[in-house]
Amino acid sequence: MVPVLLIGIPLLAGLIGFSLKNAAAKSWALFASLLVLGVSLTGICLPKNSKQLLFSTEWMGTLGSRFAVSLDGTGQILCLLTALAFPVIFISTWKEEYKKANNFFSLMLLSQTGLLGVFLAGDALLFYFFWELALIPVYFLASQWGGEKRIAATFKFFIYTFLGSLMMLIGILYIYFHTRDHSFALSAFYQAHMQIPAETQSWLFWLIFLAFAVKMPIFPFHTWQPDTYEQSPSAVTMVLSGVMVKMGVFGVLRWLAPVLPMGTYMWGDTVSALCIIGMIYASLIAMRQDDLKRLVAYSSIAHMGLMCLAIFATTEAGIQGVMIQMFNHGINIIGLWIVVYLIEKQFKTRKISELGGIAAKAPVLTTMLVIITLANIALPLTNAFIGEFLMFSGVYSSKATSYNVVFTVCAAVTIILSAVYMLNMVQRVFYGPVNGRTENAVDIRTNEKMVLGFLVILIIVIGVYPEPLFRLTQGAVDSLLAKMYVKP
Amino acid sequence: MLTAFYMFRLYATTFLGNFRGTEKQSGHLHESPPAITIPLIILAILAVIAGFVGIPEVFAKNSNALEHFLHPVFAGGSEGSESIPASTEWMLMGVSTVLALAMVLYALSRFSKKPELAEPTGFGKWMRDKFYVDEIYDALIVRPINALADFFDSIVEKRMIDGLVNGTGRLVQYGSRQLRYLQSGQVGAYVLLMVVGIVILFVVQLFLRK
Repeated sequence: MVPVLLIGIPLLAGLIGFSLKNAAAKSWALFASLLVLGVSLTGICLPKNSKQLLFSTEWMGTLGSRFAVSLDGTGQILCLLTALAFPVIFISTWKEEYKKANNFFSLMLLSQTGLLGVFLAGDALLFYFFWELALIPVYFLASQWGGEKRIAATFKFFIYTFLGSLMMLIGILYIYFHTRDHSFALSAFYQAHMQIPAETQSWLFWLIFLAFAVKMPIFPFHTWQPDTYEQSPSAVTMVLSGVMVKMGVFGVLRWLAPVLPMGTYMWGDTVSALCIIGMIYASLIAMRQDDLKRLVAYSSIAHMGLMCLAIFATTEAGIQGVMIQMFNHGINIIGLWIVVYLIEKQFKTRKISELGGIAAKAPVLTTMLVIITLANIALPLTNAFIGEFLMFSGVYSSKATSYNVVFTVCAAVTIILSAVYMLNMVQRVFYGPVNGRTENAVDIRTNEKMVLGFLVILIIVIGVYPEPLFRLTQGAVDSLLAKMYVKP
Repeated sequence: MLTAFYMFRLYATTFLGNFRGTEKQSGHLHESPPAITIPLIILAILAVIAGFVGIPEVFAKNSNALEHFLHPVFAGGSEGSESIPASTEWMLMGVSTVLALAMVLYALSRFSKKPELAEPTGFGKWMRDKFYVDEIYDALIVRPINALADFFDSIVEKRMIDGLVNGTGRLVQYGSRQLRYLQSGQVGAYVLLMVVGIVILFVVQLFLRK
């Protein structure tokens, strides 16, 4: 029942929201998102083999597709992230006034529906359905409420991701016709690779991987991302970078690596090389950005590259690191976006060169930002350290590639680069002399303190005691590695 | 010896001699607040005590508390260093104390009256500028990385990758604009195209198929 509620609550709330008055929409959306969070937490408290975590019913019987949803370890950690992210986003942007607020918040809830659906789907057609459902509201959100160049940016975003999705649909259909009894079920897909020869898996891999690569994004399929992040309203950017890019990582973990293990191994080195090029490339570009949003966007590309790299290393530590890091990265990047949003709202600029000396006037904001920054660099005692350390040790000990040492060393360079661009940003925005814009700076309000404080507490608690997350994902890691023939 | 010199040069130039600031600044001189002086006093007392913890054998038998402190760390390493004869120990202590004292006196006499240094040249300049390590680092690492980042940002990202992506879009739009002219509405042209198509199909059927 839990997965049905997770999809049903935001869907219904979103549909009802369209008919609400503008003033009520905000509270309604927050209420619905808190309800989702409650259900998600209940799901985590239930025992692992509980019947409540599964649901399956007839959907399109003639096609062999069922409405099958289930909540396992990977799904759980990402559903929790999604469920956490939305209330955090709603509260932190509480003061923002939107035109046609009812439509805005309804579309936000619908995109949450799509996201949760993607993480829960146990049927390939259903997965594809939710994958697109998550995309469409975001298109409208960004194109209606975005910045100046929103039309060009969202058009590019839509075409990019839609091209990827269509390729994936072709791939899904091909696998569907090779399942034993023509079924879209996840379990049938996991059996299908027995019938698909290695050469076929090789090109089939790219059909499906393209969709995920665009979403994550992996170099060189990333250029939609900085534009879209820059032009979208902040709340949408937080959804996109905090949760939606995780769809790509999740897709590889559930719908690609175990479905086409041979294809995954064949292209492992190529994809890993692309990941590393992208990590270094994006980090270098991040160093030269003057726009805070673009800086965070490129930093995100670099971090996602590491996650993808760790998946293709196919080691226990690596995969475990990816699962935890998906959650951590979501928290950290939403925190960063909140800070960027607060700065932009107060000073009416995102240009690093036009800011300076905020620390003296806004000590709370600065403290929060510095902690989030340190987490983004993955310093020990912060959550990202746990994830990145596991991923690095996973890549280093990888048996899937013979370049594991080279990969690890090259990837580790980006940690230094990330320290360079993040600390440089902190230095120039928050310290140094004040200027005309920043001399009347005021500190953040209570709701903003609450949200950022909550994220900072999460960062430190997970950084010191990550055990609950390990326990949550251990089963999923084992079953994935078994399907990849790494573990018995 | 070098430490004794530069520490006492620091002491002599900062605390001895005449005040070198302006009149106004000299009025501002005052003792530090207790938050600074009390920790300093504690550290000073500890520094003196610490000197006696590792007191050499020749002064007091078996009272060197430090000697065996690190023993567990090196367990299994070289077992028991050979003990140095007492005379060598006396000599080492004497020479180093005398040299250090000489440097202290030299530093005090040289710098307490005229603290200024002549502009260094040659080797001195090289040392004053920290052996140019910062400059070398800047030239070898910082600037190439920045240049590479600029190249990626302005050329590779904007022109090449994004150019390719946007170029695909433009190509489609351009192609559609050109193809539009085929839809001229003249039935004769349509018939001609149809015939050309049929001929091509025939050729393919007759000659190219096995």
